[in-house]
Amino acid sequence: MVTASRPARARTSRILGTAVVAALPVAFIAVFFVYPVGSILWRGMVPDGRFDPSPLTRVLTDPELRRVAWFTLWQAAASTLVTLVVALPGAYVLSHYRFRGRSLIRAAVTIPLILPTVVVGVAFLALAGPDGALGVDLKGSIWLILFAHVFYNYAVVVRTVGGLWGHLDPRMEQAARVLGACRVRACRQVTLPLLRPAIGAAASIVFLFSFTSFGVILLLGGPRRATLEVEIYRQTAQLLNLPLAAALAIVQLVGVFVILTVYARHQERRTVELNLRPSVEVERIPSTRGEKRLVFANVVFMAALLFVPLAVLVERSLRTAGGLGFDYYRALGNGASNTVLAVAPTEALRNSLSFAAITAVLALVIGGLAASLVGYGRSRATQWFDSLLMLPLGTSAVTVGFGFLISLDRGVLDLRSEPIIIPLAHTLVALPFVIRVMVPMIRSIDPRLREAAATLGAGPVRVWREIDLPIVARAGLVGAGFAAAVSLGEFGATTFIVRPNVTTLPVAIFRLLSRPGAMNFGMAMAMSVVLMVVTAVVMLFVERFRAGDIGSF
Amino acid sequence: MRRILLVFVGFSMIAAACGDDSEPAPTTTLTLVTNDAFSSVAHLLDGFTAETGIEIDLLAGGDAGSMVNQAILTKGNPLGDVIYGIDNTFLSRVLDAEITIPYESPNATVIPPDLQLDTTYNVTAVDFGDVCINYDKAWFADNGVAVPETLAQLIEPAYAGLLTVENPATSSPGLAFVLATISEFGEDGWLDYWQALVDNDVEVVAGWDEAYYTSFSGSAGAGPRPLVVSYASSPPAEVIFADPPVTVAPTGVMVQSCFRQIEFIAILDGTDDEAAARRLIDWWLSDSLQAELPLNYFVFPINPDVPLPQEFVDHTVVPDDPHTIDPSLIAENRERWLDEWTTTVLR
Amino acid sequence: MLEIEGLTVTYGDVVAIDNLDLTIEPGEIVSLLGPSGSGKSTLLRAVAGLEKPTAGILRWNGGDLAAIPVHRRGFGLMFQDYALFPHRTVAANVAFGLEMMHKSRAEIGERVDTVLSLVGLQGYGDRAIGHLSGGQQQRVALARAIAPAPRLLMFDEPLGSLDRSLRDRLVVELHDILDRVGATSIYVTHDQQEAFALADRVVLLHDGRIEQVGSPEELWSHPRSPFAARFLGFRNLVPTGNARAMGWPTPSPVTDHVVYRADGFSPDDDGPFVVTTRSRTYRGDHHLLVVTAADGTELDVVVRGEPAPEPGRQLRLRLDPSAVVPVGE
Repeated sequence: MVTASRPARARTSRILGTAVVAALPVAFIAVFFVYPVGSILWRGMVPDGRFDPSPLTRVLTDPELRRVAWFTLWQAAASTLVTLVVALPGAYVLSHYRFRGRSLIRAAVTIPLILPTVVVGVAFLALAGPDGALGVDLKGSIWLILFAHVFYNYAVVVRTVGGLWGHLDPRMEQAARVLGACRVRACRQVTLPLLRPAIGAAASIVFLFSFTSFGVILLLGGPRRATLEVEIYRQTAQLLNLPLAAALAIVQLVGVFVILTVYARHQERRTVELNLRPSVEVERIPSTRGEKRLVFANVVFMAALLFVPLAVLVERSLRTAGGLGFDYYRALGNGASNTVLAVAPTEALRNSLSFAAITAVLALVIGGLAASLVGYGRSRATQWFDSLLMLPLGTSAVTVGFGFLISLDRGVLDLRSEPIIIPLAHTLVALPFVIRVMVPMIRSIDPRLREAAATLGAGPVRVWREIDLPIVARAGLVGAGFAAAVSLGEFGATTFIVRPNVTTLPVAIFRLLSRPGAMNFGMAMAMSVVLMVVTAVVMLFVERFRAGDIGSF
Repeated sequence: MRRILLVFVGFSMIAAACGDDSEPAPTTTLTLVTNDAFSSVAHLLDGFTAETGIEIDLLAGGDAGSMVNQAILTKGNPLGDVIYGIDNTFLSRVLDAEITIPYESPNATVIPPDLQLDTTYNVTAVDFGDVCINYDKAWFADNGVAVPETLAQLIEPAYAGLLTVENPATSSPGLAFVLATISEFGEDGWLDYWQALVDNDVEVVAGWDEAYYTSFSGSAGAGPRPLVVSYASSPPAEVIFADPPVTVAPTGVMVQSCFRQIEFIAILDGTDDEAAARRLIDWWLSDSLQAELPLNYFVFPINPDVPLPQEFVDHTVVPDDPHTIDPSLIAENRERWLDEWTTTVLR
Repeated sequence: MLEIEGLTVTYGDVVAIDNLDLTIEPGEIVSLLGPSGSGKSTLLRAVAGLEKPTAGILRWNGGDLAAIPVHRRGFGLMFQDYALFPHRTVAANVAFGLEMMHKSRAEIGERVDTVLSLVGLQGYGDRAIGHLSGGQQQRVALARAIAPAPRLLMFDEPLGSLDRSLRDRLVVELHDILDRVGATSIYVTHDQQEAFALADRVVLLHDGRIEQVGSPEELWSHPRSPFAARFLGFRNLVPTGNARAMGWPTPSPVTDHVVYRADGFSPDDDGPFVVTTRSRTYRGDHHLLVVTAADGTELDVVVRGEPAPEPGRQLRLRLDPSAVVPVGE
């Protein structure tokens, strides 16, 4: 007879296994997000030990604040939509065709992600600001904001969606076309639904990024455009109006959480196991005229979108009083002599790289565990956890920073003066990337592969190591690359954290730009270019693994 | 797989190597909480360590407002021993929050009384700077327009579309300039003045770096507008950081537009080592540091007897009678003024 | 020896396997035959340990399998569509089970070569899975399943997705390989030709229950139910009462249905059966006629050699007595 104890034991061990996997991510998110943010919100909403709903009422009724909330929402939705429309063809081309320079492009699209907003602002205003090279002044218009959000988030879509697309069994689309669907229809009815988990993942990240966009809105949107993020910053950092800031943050959090939960439910119902194929089966060299045109058009578009603003920065870094030259780079070389910089640029670079490395490792370990929890689990609890893990991306940096300040102040948790606080904050922002890239991969693994491995003698752990890990490792690596990029360029979230005085590249750029003088401006531009090149090299390095093992994912 | 592992091992080793610069702990360490701007010139404090053997750990807490608010939130369990970078626009908030320990340094005699502001010596004035409108000399010469001298002139048609200011809600020089207009035109007249500025096509941007580097025509950013709210120390900086070297500053200062920002240092209540903290304040007022401030931090020494570097003498002015507003008035009205300004200028 | 006693597997309200008993002897090749939804794959998965029985016992050589997880059972399973590991080469796929047994590298290499040549894929070891044809993938899957020399080999419709001619060829090869490996095997299929070609014993499943068990010959010579007869491809299934009423031969001992094999008829002007030709289809080496008997019963009739009769004409037929197949009890 099948004994009653067996299922019970299996259940116990499954719960135990889940607990082991969950421990680290749950602890991390609890200590470094829920607790700090909870503390600052509590301080705001319950001053003097009594709950005061009046700021919430004010936020919900003040027409000005409602206007701000509405603008925040619709610009984020519009940015997401435009980014998807623009980047999906790019994702297709980069994941389906082999052509010269592809890995370089794939690495380069990540560069915008790491550029400080001030630097991007300089480039965009030089192009489409007053007296811009393009001859149109878009400053203050929603178009420039959308343009910048597309610029920032292009890589998110290309990477997240391309990662899955490049492994979709091409026969599915072929089957649809044989059944009489034309190319567009096949794409709409077969490929897009299959890609839905990845598209959803990318969309949620882009949405959250745009929802909490701070620098871009301030710089390019002009002073009349405020988002919730800007308003929360103003109320917290400038006016110390914690009740109103808390009320705004609650509105922001609830909004983000509702959107994420709806999204998670939607995802849950739609996810199907896919017959993932190694990329070698999917990729081909563009041969027909149509294919060549498609690839060419997309490469030209990417060049226009990504490389023109970047080229502006390069040009600015080379533009000296005596014509083009490497003066500012040379100045960086003996940078310690510059009083504004204070530390040698090489030291800033080293700091940036080590924070990026720590962030990548932390995000990969914690994010990998969390992704497993979310990817394999199908319970309501994992759905909630999934949404919770995304929240940091949708939470105001100033809320998190001030939360850290008043909560992480005792005993072992007194990290306010420890350098580790910086990569920890970066990890909080980077986690959603790792999770969103990995979960669709995990969910799409054909369960029969695991069964086959089990019948061949592999125990559960071994199955995970032999089947899940190799297939998900690529995705994990892409996620870790994102994490590193986020860390390399991250300035926003850490601006509001009290932190030890460690100079990173973005901090150094910020400092150079906070002093007048041609030399400072030139060196800031040169340093931005260095940051770009470093990022491209890191990404190329990650890229190389793609060409690794046969049938690698 | 193995190669992926190798990468992570490599990463971790880099990380380990970076965390590995532990030196033998000195006997005393002071933690100094400051704003991002000062943290870049931390080397100015090397002299203090050399002289006293006291090490300084620097904590950066964002901009001036952010830093002050953080200090207030951590009352009772302070981030550090000493806080530096409180300016007169946030002074009252600090005093009202009672987060500091009073200390009147023996060196405080060098501080001109009109700059100290706080007679209880809870905070000590250590330097000042002036937020002033800067102008692009070449633009005014090339276009045959007279450089404006008074704030009132800026609403004349001749200066339409020439001025860029920072949003006072997000920028400290922006706030200083708004305070200058309140000081000049009074509670009754300043909003009308701003309405006139708006009608004269004033540009509002989020922060100083954007205003200076993307809007202002006199900087290396080569923007379109020849007037910008910046600092009195900006023209000397343009000379010092010029490339190639120049003898005449490309920009000048509108003396009558200046608002004085005074920076204060204070001992945080809850410090473990009040004696060491006092020594830091004494040292901050000493000639050795005061003389270093202009060329490194681009502020003026609080001690009027400390000689200014030649670049400062040649390329800028210290206004005799800058605009000021009593810190308690600022604290009382800041939010209302900001709301009124926002309503008038941005809606 | 595999013993299955009272096995029941349910998915929610659906009963996939219903109180099933079956014993498989060592070295025996048993085919589970049945239409889709009959529970044959579920039975296989339950034996493999991939499906948890709702009730019943599975025993291997007398030992209860309930507490033994999939990976410790030592049973090989070849999946429909193969479930080859896309991230591994041909050789690495085949080596997987051996690696799980912690064999030495040399041993693994040797065994992989042996097995690959057994399935006719010598020299394919370094290929990527994606670059193989369907038939080659099927061979890799087979090689992967047999490489660890499992105690019990199971096949889940392994030829299902291949074309007819390839299937026919592979069935022969598979039979040959199974003979040489000598393992106890369970072979799931919905194709009776495959089942008959491979199996020592055929288990016919219907709605989660065993409809009939026996050697291919036994099934062929006496289907136990009209369902079995129809599933085995017999036409001309007639209730014995109707047959007797028309005076057609009936089997003895008497069963409730009878089948008249289509190739057992031949036209004969002196034949005892009078029918009317309804249609005629040319089939290369024969014609297939559809005829109606006196009471309207439709019958298929195979006619070889002679000029086939025109539709609509009356026809007299003779019946070979060996073509009378008893059906049911």
